Amino acid sequence: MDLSIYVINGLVLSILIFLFIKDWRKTIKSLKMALSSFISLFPSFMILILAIAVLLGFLPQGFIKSYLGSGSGYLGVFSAAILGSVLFLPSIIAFPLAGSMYHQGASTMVVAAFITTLTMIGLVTLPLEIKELGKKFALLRNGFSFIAAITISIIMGVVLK
Amino acid sequence: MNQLQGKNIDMPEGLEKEKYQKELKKQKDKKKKIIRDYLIMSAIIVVFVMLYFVFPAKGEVSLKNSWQFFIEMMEILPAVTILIGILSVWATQEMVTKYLGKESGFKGFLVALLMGTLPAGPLYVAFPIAKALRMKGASVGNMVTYLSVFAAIKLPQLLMEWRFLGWKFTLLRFPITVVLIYLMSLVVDLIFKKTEKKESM
Repeated sequence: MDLSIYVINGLVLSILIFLFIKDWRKTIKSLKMALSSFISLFPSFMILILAIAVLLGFLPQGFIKSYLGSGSGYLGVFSAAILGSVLFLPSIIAFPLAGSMYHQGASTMVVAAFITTLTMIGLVTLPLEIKELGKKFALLRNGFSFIAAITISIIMGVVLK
Repeated sequence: MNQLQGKNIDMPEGLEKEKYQKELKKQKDKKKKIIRDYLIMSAIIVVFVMLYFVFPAKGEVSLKNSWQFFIEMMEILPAVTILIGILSVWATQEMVTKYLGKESGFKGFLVALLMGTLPAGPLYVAFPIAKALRMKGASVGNMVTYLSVFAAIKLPQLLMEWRFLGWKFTLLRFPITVVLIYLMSLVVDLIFKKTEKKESM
């Protein structure tokens, strides 16, 4: 993840320098807008972060593993998808966890369902998504993502037996 | 965010008087909302500190987690907000509509796909970017694509997946996910179009 952070920050910085040379007034205006959106986004993001941190802190250790390990077949896929939708894990935790489960014998379908719903759907981030993009958009996107995730994992399970 | 809408007023496109007053009111409401958000944030921090003292062991884990998330956010939030600022000042309605608008078709899907694969942190930072693009004329379907790609298959994440789940898993999940995201964007776009028609009738 570290490298990508450098890449994106470097990219934005070079765009900024380029635009500043092109028209510094307009660029200052962009920076002012950036500051005001920073001020308005910061508390929402902080609330989200604290909520997720508390949630994870109170999740018993090994819960995810035992939960996902217990299910198999289509029911297992469904319950993995539910857990993936509810939880919010940074990928630096999620992928090693999914990887170790996969190597310990969890089925492709279950792991795919968990990873896909975990990344695409966020019940914790839903209020923020609604706030930024509207109720209809957020609910439709999350709802269809759930269907898509189940479909993806079933196809993967069939192909990667 | 809405402050930037307000500042658009003195831009050449210009808005009518009525709209201008509406914008002013919107801005005031927005300010109130921001203050409310900061109050909620402070309240949650207080609760957080109290929890830390009541459940020291769990509090320790929560504190460690939140610090990690905080760093993760601060590494990307300045870049994201600058990007939003640049987008709102430099990108014209025509430009965004041409590449990501309703008529952009499959090309619009590809543009949204490419944008989504760029490395840029956790999903929630993409919501305001999508909002800024929507205000400049990007279509609903393309924003579904952008967010979904950003969420599920952005490049740095694919590398992680490759490392921990193997190339077979990653190379299979990627194309299937792209196809399903495409279908999803079409369906959501269609639903929005239908309900918009009904509302205008």
